[in-house]
Amino acid sequence: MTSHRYDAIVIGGGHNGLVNAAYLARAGKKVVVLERRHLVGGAAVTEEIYPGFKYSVFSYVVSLLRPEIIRDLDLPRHGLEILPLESTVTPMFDGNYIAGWADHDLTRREIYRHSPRDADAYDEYGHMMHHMAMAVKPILAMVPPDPTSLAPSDLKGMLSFAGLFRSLPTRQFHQLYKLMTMSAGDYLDEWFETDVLKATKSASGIIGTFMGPRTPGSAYVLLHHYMGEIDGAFRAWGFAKGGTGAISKAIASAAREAGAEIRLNASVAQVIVKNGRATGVAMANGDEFHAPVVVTSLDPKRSFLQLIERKELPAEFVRDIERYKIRGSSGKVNLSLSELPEFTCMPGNGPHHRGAFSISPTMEYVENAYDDAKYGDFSKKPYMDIVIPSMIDPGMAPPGKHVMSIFVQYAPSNITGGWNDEKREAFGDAVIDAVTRFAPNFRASILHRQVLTPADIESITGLTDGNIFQGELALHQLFFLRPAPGWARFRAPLKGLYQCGSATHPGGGIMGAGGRLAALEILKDVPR
Amino acid sequence: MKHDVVIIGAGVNGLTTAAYLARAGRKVLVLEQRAMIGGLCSTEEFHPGFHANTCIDDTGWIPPSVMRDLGLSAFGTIAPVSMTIPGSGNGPIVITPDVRATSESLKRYSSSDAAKWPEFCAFVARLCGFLEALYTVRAPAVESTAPSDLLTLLSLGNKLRALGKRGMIDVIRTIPMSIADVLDEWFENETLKGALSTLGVLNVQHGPQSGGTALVFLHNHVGLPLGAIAGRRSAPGGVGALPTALAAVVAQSGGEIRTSTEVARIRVQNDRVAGVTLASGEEIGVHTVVSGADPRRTFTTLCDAGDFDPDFLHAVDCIRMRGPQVRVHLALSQAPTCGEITIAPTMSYVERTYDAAKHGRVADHPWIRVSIPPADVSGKHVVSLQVQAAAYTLRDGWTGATRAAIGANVVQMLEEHSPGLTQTVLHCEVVAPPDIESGFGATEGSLLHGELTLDQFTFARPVASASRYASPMDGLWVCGSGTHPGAGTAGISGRLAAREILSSKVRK
Amino acid sequence: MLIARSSSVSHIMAHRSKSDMPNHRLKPTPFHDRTARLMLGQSWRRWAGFTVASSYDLSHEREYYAIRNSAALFDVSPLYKYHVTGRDAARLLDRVVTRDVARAKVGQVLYTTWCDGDGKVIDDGTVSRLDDTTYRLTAADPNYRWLGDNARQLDVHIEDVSERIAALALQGPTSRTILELATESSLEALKYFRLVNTSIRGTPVTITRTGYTGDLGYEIWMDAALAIPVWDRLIECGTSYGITPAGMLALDMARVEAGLLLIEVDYYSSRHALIEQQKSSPLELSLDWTLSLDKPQFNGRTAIRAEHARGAAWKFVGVEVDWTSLQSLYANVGLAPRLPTQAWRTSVPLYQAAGGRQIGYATSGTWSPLLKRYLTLAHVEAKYSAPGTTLEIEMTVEHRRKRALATVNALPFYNPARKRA
Repeated sequence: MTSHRYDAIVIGGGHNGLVNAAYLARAGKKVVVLERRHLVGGAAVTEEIYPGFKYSVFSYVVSLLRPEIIRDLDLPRHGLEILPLESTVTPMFDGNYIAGWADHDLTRREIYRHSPRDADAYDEYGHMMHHMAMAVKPILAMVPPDPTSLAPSDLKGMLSFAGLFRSLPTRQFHQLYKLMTMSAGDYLDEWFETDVLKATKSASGIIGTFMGPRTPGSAYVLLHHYMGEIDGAFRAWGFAKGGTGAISKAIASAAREAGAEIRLNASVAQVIVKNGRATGVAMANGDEFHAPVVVTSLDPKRSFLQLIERKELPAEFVRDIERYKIRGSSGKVNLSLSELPEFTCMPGNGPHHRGAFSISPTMEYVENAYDDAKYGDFSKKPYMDIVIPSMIDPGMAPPGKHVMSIFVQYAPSNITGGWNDEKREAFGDAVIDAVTRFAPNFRASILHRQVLTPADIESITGLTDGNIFQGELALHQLFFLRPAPGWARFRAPLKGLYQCGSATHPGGGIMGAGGRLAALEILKDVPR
Repeated sequence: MKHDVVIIGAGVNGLTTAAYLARAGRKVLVLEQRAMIGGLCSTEEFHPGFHANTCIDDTGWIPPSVMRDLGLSAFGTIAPVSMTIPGSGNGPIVITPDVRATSESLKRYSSSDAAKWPEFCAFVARLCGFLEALYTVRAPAVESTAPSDLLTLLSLGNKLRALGKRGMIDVIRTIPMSIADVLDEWFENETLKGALSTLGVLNVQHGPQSGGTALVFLHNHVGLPLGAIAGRRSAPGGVGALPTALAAVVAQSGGEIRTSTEVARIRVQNDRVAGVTLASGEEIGVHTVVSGADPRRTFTTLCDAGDFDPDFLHAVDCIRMRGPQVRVHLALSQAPTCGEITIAPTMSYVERTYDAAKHGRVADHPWIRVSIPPADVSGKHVVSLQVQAAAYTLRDGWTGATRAAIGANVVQMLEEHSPGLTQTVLHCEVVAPPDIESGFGATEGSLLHGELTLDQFTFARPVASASRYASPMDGLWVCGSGTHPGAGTAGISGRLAAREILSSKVRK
Repeated sequence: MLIARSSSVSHIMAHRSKSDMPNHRLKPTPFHDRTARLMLGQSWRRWAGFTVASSYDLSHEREYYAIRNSAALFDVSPLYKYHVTGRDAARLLDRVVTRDVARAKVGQVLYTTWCDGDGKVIDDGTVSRLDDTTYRLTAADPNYRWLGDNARQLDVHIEDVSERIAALALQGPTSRTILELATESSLEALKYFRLVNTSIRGTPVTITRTGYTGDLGYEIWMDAALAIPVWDRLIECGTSYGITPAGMLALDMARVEAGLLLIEVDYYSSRHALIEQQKSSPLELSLDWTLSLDKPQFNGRTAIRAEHARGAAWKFVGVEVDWTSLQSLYANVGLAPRLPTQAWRTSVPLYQAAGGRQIGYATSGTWSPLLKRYLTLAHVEAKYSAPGTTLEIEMTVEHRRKRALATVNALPFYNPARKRA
């Protein structure tokens, strides 16, 4: 048994853990990141599962990686390059399609083809969403105040929080309120009449959640699409050159340069607590690491219910973590392809292959997919978000071949009877069938397939229930309630213990905000 | 002009507004399109000799202020049994305002649930206490910086703070949740959760898993005493007695009520209300019109579209009405044996009834709440059922056959709990959402005059630009269930609307 | 209420083929086949999703002078156009626009604005009364949804004819002669802001005596499928009279001289404004003359009447940069005055005279080669809007910000008698 001493230990080498370590190291702290797997990244990894074919195995697009992190850590110098995803095409059952292109006029014309009225609405909708998104975006960089506290800093925080909303013109304030409380489907009904347009837009509201497009609370995510940093695009999503793992690698490189140590194949078994204080971690192999600061980037169920003995934590906090909603709802299928899919609605190769395909032909299709999951089954006809990374970064696949990333919903973690090999393959088959319905050459073009259920996501990455956001992004689990009331400020009810994962404000996606804000909070507590 | 104010609709809130205005000396005329007063709060004969509460069984919460002001002390009695849930094997679960007795009844199914029951009752009471405070003042204008609005916000904020750290978090955290998530946090017994979850989706087209249904659940408990979970307030002689009592107050104060008088149009001249035109063609000149009709009907049917900003009318169009409720009244030759049970065996069961509505189908297995009106109401043996089974818009449309099938289905479902009932059915009356719309003028058959969900709550009810009873048209006001605080409360919006009208500079 | 769905849906579906899907190009106008041949410098620009010429020649100078000396021919097909028909067509338009449509006679054209419920301008355009119950609305922005939203309870049919109807503007002193030759009829009786139905080489056309240059001029409206012969005939008849196809650069200079405002440049549509301050009322745009405040109802009426009673806070005026002042600013750095060769569309601060505070901003400007004056269109606080008021305008002279003297002018700057004669 060996013992090591540091200023700070970061549990988990996902993007938030790495960002956290980088900021702490830049402040002169001796930091070690302990990653269970053989590579950094957590759910943001690129792996060559089959020779020559590189998959962004889990997370596959990036939208909200905080620009201040890119600037502070000088990530482009460490290899980060984010390329825009230009379009979304939704094939329809009747051979038609709807597309959103990077160019406003082209998108307008496309929507006009379906409904002249919606083409007008789309202009106004875009203006309004963009402005609201910009107005509330500072929340992403805020440490949540505690609304129950009368401390001046919290009151000030609440005021500036309220100020963001009150600064909006009345009409937009009310629209924002609707977005926070309505279902994506109902909200879009107020704007549009074209079913497939609403289906595609609302599908973006259910990604990673256990909600359907008609479930109140799903509208909020619509706003996220207008918060992205890739300006002007129809969907503000981008794709990292080299896959999402390249983002993690760049952050890791920045962290190492700042002096952080990153240990791979280092599995933490327990947080060591002495006299009500976290003092280090014990490894699965018996080694121990000691530090006055222990930061966990894992989800709160894993951090607080598995790595720490219950008696060390307040009962109320444990109860809050127990009832934290973390249901996994999505699966992932990664494929190697011998040729590009030829969609019936858009024959031939073209610029559409550089963008995303949304399998969301009707509202009812997506809603039915949700209904399957509500009662404990995977969607027989799932909603899918498909991208072909090799079209944007040719290095992802051998020449002439392609890789495809299919995000699939719904695949409930609590599937009746649990997941097993048979169900995984049936799920994979359902996905292939559903795509082939729109692209007949698809099935025959598949060289390799990797099907990941929530159970697989959990066993590989450690994300509880395979939830990609480390907990649902529902109103009652956001901001000062994330992950638990009173503990939304990156601390935990143990001295020396901090949290920085996606389960902290502002939540999931490759943002890195939690990692950064946690580091800034830690540095307030720890003398430099 | 002969009248100062015309009130459209002699429902509970219309009459309350009328009563307050008449007592303040205004010359009030209430116009009711139906032959009787009461609106959705009516008790009627549905089969010769058989009476029932046509649409609703619960008068809703009448706040003490309204009771006192209008002398309604006979109303608001809490039914002795709140809810009876047929159990599976171990006898029924009976919820009564007696917390300990209910707890005992739960023990047979889950000792954990029984132990948590008192705490749950206190939790609900705490949160409802805050809503009570919110409901008795006009909707706070959250985006306003006017001192009076800030004061209202501050006082509500203080009410919230008074709940303590945990209570405050409970309010903020719980309101946007789904009732399924809330009940899962408290209880393990599926039967109990299934039945309770119906209070989270009552009269809204949602399932227990929909976010915000926790608010619906709480809303349905505002004003109920501790422990009366799922409780209902009955009225002596049926819910129709409440409007009758209010009408008496109106008459005493010199107000006039005309029934069988349908308003066709609200007339506007020089940017303000000039009067109403009746369906008969008669014109009544008046400068103040208060509509107790639902907001969609008020602004898009009773008014000339040119009188309003299209953006306002669009907002009104966007109000979700979506009445999912079917009422079934059975005239029986003898008393049923089932008692006032609730058939909603699991939350998934309730969720599936929503799925049906969502997809425009009639649920094969609706959830049902049974009421057996006392003899002084029904006259004979009557069973009234709340059947949340369908949607206003069905894929295949509403036909006589649809209604008959629903009737037959629920009778068959009841037969299981009340063997032999089928043979005793003399008449089965099915009141579907389109019937509620055509019979009562409630758009899409919404008994709530618009779903009472978070996005259509307080300052957003009925729409953000008219949430304080005044409309964008000078002289036109709204006072019905579609306004804050909404259906399920009786007389509050009527009272608050009257207060706003009296404090405004009304041209006589 | 009936709303027409564009017939172009089936058209596009029918023509989908492997080669042109997805179509990533901007749309050609119905005259593209002709205009493309004239294009010397590939100087195209985008207008409402269409490709139009900025200028055909390498310089737009000749095109500008054609407007004032002979006749310039503009392809204005990308304008949004709507046909409003039915018993309540006038009622619908009267709910929407600020002018009194019901009182317009068949054959009359109205320039008008339309507003939201708060009395802020959404767009401006023209309403032509084609017959008893048919009107054509032209607009700079899409307005199909807004018209539909206003058509509640009305018996009216709204059709988006933007792509179905092609449009040309023939502007300049010889435009009448050319059109008379082309139509083989006299246009003597066609008064300012009136229309006539006739035909050109077999193509039925509507000619309106309207335009965006402030000169004698006409606009010609026709079926897009029959548009090319009209172009050819005009060129054929106009060659001896100096007809000159012209692009947007020339038009932009002329419209500043004429004091005509441009959406998204001189004002923002209230549908697109992000904050209240970005919106303008018709009174603030000095379009008082387009307001029929006594009409029983139209969107924004209440707010505009109230604003009218208290007086608008802003006014839209012409501001001329003082030549001598400009000259001396340049002289101070040893240069002769440098003038813009094109109209500009940026916001330039205006100040009180003698180094005072900012009291407005110019949104468009041009050097007028005809008038030899430096002209701008500007928003100023109402009390600085009287013609003759002296102001200062920011001018960047050799990388440094300076202030030149400027004078408030009545609009239009240029108003030839032939425009209305």
